[in-house]
Amino acid sequence: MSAIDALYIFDRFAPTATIILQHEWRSRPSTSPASLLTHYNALPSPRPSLIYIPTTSPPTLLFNLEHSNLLLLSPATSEIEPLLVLEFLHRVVDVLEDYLGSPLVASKIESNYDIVAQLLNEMADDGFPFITEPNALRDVVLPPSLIGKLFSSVTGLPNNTLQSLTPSNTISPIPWRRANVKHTNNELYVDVIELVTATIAPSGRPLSARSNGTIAFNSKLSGVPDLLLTLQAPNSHKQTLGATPNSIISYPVFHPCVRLSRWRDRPGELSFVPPDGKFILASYEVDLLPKKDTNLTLPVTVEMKTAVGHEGDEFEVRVFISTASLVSSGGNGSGNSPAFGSRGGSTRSPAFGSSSNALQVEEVSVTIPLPPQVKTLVATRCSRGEYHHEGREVVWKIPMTGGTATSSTATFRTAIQIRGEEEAEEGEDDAPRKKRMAMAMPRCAIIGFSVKGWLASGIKVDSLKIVGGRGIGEGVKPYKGVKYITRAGGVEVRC
Amino acid sequence: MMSRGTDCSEFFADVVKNVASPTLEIKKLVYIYLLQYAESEPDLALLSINTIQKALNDQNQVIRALAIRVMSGIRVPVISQIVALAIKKGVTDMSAYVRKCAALAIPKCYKLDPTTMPQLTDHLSTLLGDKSHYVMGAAVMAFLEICPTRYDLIHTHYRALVKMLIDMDEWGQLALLRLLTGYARQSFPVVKGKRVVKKKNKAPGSADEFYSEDEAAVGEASGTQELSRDVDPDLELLLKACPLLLQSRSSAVIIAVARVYRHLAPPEYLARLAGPLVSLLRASVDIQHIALISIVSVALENAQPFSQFATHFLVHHLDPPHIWRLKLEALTLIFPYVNIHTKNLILSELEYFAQGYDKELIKEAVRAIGRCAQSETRNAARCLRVLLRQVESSDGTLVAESLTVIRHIIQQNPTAHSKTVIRLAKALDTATNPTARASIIWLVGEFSGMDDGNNVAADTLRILAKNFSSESVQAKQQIVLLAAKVYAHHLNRTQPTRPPPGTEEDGISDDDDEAQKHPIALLFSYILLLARYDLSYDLRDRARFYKSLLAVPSSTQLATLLLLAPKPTPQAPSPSSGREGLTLGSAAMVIGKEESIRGYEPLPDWVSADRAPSPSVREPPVTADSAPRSTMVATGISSKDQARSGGYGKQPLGASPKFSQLEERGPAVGVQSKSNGKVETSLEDFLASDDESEDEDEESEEESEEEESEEEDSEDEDADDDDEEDEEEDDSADEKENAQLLGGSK
Repeated sequence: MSAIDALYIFDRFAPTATIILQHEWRSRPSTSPASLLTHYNALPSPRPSLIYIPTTSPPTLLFNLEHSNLLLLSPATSEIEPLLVLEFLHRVVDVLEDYLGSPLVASKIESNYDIVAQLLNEMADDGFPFITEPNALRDVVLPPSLIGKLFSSVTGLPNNTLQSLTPSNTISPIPWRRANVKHTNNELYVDVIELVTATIAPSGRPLSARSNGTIAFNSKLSGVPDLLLTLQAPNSHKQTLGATPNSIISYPVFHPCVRLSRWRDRPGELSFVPPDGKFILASYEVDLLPKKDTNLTLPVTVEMKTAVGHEGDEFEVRVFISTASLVSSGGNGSGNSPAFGSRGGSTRSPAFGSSSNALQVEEVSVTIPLPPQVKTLVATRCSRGEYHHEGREVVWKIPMTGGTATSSTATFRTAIQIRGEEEAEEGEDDAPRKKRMAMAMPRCAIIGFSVKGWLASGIKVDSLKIVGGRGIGEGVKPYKGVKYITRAGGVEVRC
Repeated sequence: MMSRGTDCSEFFADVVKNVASPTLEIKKLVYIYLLQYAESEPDLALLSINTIQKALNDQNQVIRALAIRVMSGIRVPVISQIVALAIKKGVTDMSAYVRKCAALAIPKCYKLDPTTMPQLTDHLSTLLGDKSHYVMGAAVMAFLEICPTRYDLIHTHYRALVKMLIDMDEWGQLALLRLLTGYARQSFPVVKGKRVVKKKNKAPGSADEFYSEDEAAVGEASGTQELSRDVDPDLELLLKACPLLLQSRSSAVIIAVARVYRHLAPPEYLARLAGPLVSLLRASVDIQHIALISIVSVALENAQPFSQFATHFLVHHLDPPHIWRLKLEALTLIFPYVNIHTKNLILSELEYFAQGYDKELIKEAVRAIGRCAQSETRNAARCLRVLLRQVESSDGTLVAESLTVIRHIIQQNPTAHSKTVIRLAKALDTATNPTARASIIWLVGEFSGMDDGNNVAADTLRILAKNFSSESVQAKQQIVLLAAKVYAHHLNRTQPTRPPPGTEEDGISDDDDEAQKHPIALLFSYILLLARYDLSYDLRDRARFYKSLLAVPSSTQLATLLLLAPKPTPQAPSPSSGREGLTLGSAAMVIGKEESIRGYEPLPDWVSADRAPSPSVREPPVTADSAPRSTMVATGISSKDQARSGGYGKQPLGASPKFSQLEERGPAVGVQSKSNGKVETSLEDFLASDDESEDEDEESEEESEEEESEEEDSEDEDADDDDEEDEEEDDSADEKENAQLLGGSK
């Protein structure tokens, strides 16, 4: 009833869209991949992720996923939960990236067909998802380098010397952790990455501001360790631990390794046996505007004026970059002032290898989408950085010079020309022209930036302890590193 | 080559020889090859079977499992018996991994040879009693594949399954949730509680819907004894197992839980669901899309829980069309439930988008404003203000769209909006867009009969007549129509004063007299005159038609019917209404066309109380006929597996003592006792409930009857609605004939 029929991977940018991989889990599908692609291409972009094609026989549900330059198509001929397929496709991409390295490109798949085929075969059995945990897959399918060794040895060396390398004899008792993990250096890395999404009204009042956090974990620990990660919410250092974060972290989702009951009883504590290698431990959401009157502090703000200039055909964008508030708290590293105490990304217990103290805003860019009426931009000048006008948007990138200045401004000003303006220009009175100009003005600007060592939500990792487990020596003190990054994932300033 | 899609079957014999290769990797690749091409070369494939069979006895569990998978995957019907044997062996294997593979082999074997069904169901029922959550997920998938309606197999395992839910991998959870949704519909009679609870919760104040389990339980306990049992305890067991799943990283699982709540649980559970569903919006676009569809379909029935998430539905500039459409719809659906502040926010948001430059977005936004106005008449005035502001804009699309929506709003409550019409008539001075002008003129015409002629219609007509020649064709037609309407009203007012026989006197010659008498008649004939010499033959035709229609007083009646017929109130339903009947999270819902998706089956209706299986069948240790094995399973679970159900699955397959000790020392201890307690209470409840069950059954029977009749009613209503819509369509066809106005309104 609910099985995934097949997976086809196409190279989107090849001159003629060629299929680079096809894998069928069930009997041969009736519709060929090429015709599926035709159907797919027939629809205008952007396409929904689930396309229904009634013209094939039998009618086909076509799930698709675009990943960088690859296009993954998966047809189904009967009812199936759409998210099951989509999640599965995402998982396939993750696993392939894990094995073949990121970014995933067509040539990598082509040179490793043997592995990809094995992986896909393990990931689903008869169309049912089977083993999808990267760690469990590592138990049954060897990564490329090992296979290469193995093949060379099959021809030359006797087999048994390499038998120890094949981990296939054992299936780990924990689905997400590989059996018999051994590392010479025990290391733990926690990356907390937040993506700020905000909408700011023309008046400057934020309409909505949210921060979507992801805790990415990279564990290189031997044996089966049992870890405890404690998160601390801002301003909670006066209160008792554990009671707070739930109020600020809303709707977290966790990797299956996290003991949910522990979180429920003591919010803020994540207790888990980690998978080996990189994984996403949890993701969460923080509302940056818990109350109506809360101020939103972002390191980059934009002021936009449209229809300025004596012709009314210019617009101006001013960018203010200020890390002052952020740096002052982070640079001290102590978190003295109550308002910003926990903002400082680099304040952490001495056990952690701390990242650099100075907060720096990077990758500042402003994207201004333009209405279709706009023909060109004339008399453009910007005080700093460079701009790039392509299609229906202008991207203005502002380089950050050195870390000395805590605040700076930059201005971008340009006039627009409207399509079909030239012939109508003479003998026309000013009012309608102004009106048309006003309609051709951009309506918003989208800010992009990234700050290392600062989290918009103010959450921080309070402690990370190994509380138990086996296979890790008593005296071993693993290196622990914590990194905080905030990125703007769509801060929209309207005007 | 194979992966590229080239046909490699010519190498079949050569490849198959390698099946005995000692290296696992090569073996696997050979197996993959076999799976692909065995169908076309059944004879040669049979040669390999022997080797594979040997592999079934291999020491290594991985090889054993692989052998089962390959053997069942070779689509050669001859070997079905061998496969069945292999499955039988695999089912009792030591290793859970092998058992899992055996479970997945069952549907494959069934497809090969349907006659093996009885054997396979036996195996399946054994596997469903397995105590490893590894196996269970696969077993449930197999069950769904081969015999999704054999719920009798599930009864004894129901509670174990529910308890294991949390420990399975996400795919297993998905399958199990699907199974249990169907099972619950078939096994738990719907009872009074559903409606009673709803009322109870609404009463104390709808703002705070976040009842925790305990509060809800307390509230119910304080009620009568009957109320506290409105949800079957077993069903409640399932519902209580679900909240933790809402923290799964797999969006599919979250949607599956949403389905359980939406289709099984009393409405107050939905409140808990809203947050996690909304949080799916932070995922990638494809998942957002499906999450939004689910949110909208839940909100169509019950938008209250989503009201606090208004800011999540703000449309972002980068959203593709299929996303913002749904977001706007969600905004309008929650609109009636939010506080005044958020209402302002939503309206200004919609207004902002209405002024954008994406034409589609403008249309959708204006329509959304219209829906907001419809959903609550109190807000209509406000929405109208917003829309009227748009009318003066210079963007044609926006004006046309907002006028259509304004017309909808006005038609809903014509008497209250006479001022609006005047305002619109004023807007005629500034509006330039032909469609907009035409639309306004039509509206003015519609209201020309109000207050016995003391309105702006005639005046508007006078002004319009001045510039008749410079109007667009569309507007001219409307002006002619307006003139006809005004004149018809005028005739209607003046005629009753005359004696009926007097109609004979009214000849064509009389028309001139009358025309001299009253400016309206003058105006009418003036406009007809203008229209007569117009370029457009359509317009000339119309003018002639109205002239002859209104010239003869005997046909005034007819003209009144034709021109002044009351127009039915149009309803603009939410774009995805109609989807809410489909099962949440199914492909059919995403596509929105139920009939055409193969394999889509609506959820079974709630079973009636008399046909529901007695709760005792789900009582593994108590039922006499249950095999000792299942008892073992049950006890095994209650003694051993608490650590798992709380502490999330650390039980190793070959349990190493050290590790399990660790588990016990660990934080899971508190949880152990908790889950233990839960088990006990539910058992006690059961034993106690046996006595009362009869009474309840009767009651619930009545209840379900009531519900049925109500459902019928609502269906009737639906049908009525449809009729109305049809009428509207007919009508709009008429209107098109008259006016060619409604082209954009559908």
